[in-house]
Amino acid sequence: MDKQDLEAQIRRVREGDPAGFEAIVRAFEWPLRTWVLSHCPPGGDADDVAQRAFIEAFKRIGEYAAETDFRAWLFAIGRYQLMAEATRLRRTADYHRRYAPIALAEELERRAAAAAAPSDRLDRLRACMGGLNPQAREILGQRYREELPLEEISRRSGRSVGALKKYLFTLRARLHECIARKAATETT
Amino acid sequence: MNRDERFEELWTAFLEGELDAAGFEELDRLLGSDAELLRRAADLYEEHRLLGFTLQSDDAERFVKGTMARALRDREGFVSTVSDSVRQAVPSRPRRIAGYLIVAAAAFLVSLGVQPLLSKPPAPALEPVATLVRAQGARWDRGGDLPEGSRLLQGRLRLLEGAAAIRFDSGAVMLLSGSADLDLEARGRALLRAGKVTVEASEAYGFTVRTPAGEVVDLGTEFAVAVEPTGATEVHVLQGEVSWSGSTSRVLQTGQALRFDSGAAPEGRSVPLTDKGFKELLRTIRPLPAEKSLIAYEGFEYPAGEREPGQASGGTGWKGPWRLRTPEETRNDRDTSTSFIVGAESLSGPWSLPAARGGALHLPAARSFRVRPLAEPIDLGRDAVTYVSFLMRQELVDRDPPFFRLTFRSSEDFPNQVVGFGMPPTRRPSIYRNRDNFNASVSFEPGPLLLWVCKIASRRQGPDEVFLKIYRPDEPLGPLEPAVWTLATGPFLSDARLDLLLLTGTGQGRQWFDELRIGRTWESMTRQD
Repeated sequence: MDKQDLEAQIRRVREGDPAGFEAIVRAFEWPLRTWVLSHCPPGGDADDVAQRAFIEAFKRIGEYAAETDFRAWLFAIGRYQLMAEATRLRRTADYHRRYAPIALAEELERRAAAAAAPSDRLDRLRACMGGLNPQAREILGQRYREELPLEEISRRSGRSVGALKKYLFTLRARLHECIARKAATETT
Repeated sequence: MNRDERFEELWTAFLEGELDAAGFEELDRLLGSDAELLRRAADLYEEHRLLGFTLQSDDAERFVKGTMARALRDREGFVSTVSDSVRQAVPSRPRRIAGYLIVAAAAFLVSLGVQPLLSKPPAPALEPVATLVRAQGARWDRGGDLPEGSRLLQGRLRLLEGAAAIRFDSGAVMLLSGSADLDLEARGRALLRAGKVTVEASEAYGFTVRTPAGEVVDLGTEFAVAVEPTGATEVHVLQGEVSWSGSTSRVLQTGQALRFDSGAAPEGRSVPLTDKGFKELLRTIRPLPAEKSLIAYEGFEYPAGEREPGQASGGTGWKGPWRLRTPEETRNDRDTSTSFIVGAESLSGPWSLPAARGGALHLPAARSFRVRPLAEPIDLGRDAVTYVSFLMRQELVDRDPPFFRLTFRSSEDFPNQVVGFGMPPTRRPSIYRNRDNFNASVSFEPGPLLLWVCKIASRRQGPDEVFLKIYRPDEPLGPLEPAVWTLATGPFLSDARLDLLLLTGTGQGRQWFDELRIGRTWESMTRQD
């Protein structure tokens, strides 16, 4: 959606036509969801936060200054929603003993507060996954796509649960290093 | 084991939901002492979330439609909220969200050195602090009828007529009848503006009732407080002691009843002790009859033996018979046992429960999934409370222990819209909500029969919460829902409409399941017929 189309859809929403907002959600769904997802604290529902950001944008569309940066405006709302989610989770009894170590939660919050903009991390992750062998991709698929219990993946793969945990840690670490390498290459 | 190996172990347990409280503390110490490791852990966590996102089926359309449905519904809700606001009702979901937004936006503008555009300070977000555990003919100014089991947010609550019992999260139970006007201030504190309440606070030392004339602090007791329109306050100590702080301060003992009036009797004047104790009053608040509050029941009243799931259509409150998952629901995770096996004997335990009927469902040592559609879906987008109870037993085995799950799902989005309960091989029960697992810090050994009582408290506008209590055979079942649950999710927002029940049994141990009840009240789960 180019800027002209976007401004036209915003005008439609202001005039009372929600269909214009559906087009906006469709256009920004992917970047906002992935940004929220990667910064959402443990125990938080990232899709719910992203939805709430869109809903606030819908209700406050009259406050958006036409012909300025809508993406930045939307992401700022997303950031506020994420901060609100982090605040809510912190108030949950035993949150840091059940869902998230304090240091990790604070680091994720710091990152969310520092950069409300789409990241290339997902693209890099996808590219790095292409470099994995089929067996590794199958294990990751069972863990993340099918959400099978480790015991079942263990049965299917013939690895012990302990070995499987080690293998998953290695795969995640390998992907992380690959993403870091790509980021370094792309910025030099 | 060196530091990197220990991080690997703790981190993996964290991502798999297997980390206990001590593990969380150790991981936190590790991350807090090494900035580089912390950065790496945050990167790994982001990538962990993105792995799930990228490997899941593309559900963009569902997200877009769901967002639009919520946006339009919230817009309708916003209108009704504005019209209600003059009554100082509890902020609704959009107002709470707006409150958060205003706080964040103001902070952001200040940080930029920009003069805040917002002239009014935002109200702090309100938290649930109590539960309506029983009501009879109760009519409230906060939304008319409140369902039993409703979580109550901080703020003013006025009972216009009828009777009710409220359990504060600190454990104190307060009975109200007739007309009563109070503010729920915190988990262990209320302001009584007018009316009479009776409090049983043996589980909540320090529970406080404030009144216009002073403050009553429980010292482990049962007491009644009445406030007249003039502000004059009567305190009746039915058992134990309370501390009174008004114009004067003193401790009142069992059997004492005093009236405090800041003008006429600031020192307190003796009045006759109320003749009704807590238990007697509680008995007079009759819950809804079970037949009116039970939504669905399955007692497995089938002849013992094996049959196709489609041939099992007993019980009440179901839209169809048991079935296997459809290919779309199954995806790549197939059943290794498809028959529906009913054992001859019903499960029954020491608890005082409705009489068990029929046999019990037997989940074999296999991967088996059984689905049943509900006649009345669980709709998280409306104000309701749904209780679920069942009996369950798992066999003790040496390897590949059994894994049990009962989940409610949406036929429109089977894999993603989930609220459920389970006992994984770690033996620490879990609540499942969409892609989040909430794990208990206590574990349950396999073998004994366990009674599960679950509660799903939903709000049309406001946070939803899910609770789970598992009773061991030696744990008595109370007449009211418990103050302390085995596990709870904390508040979250969802509008999911869950119309399917899915039973999942995996692992090498056999499992038995029986007396499934879904209802609107605690009593419909636990009361004897």
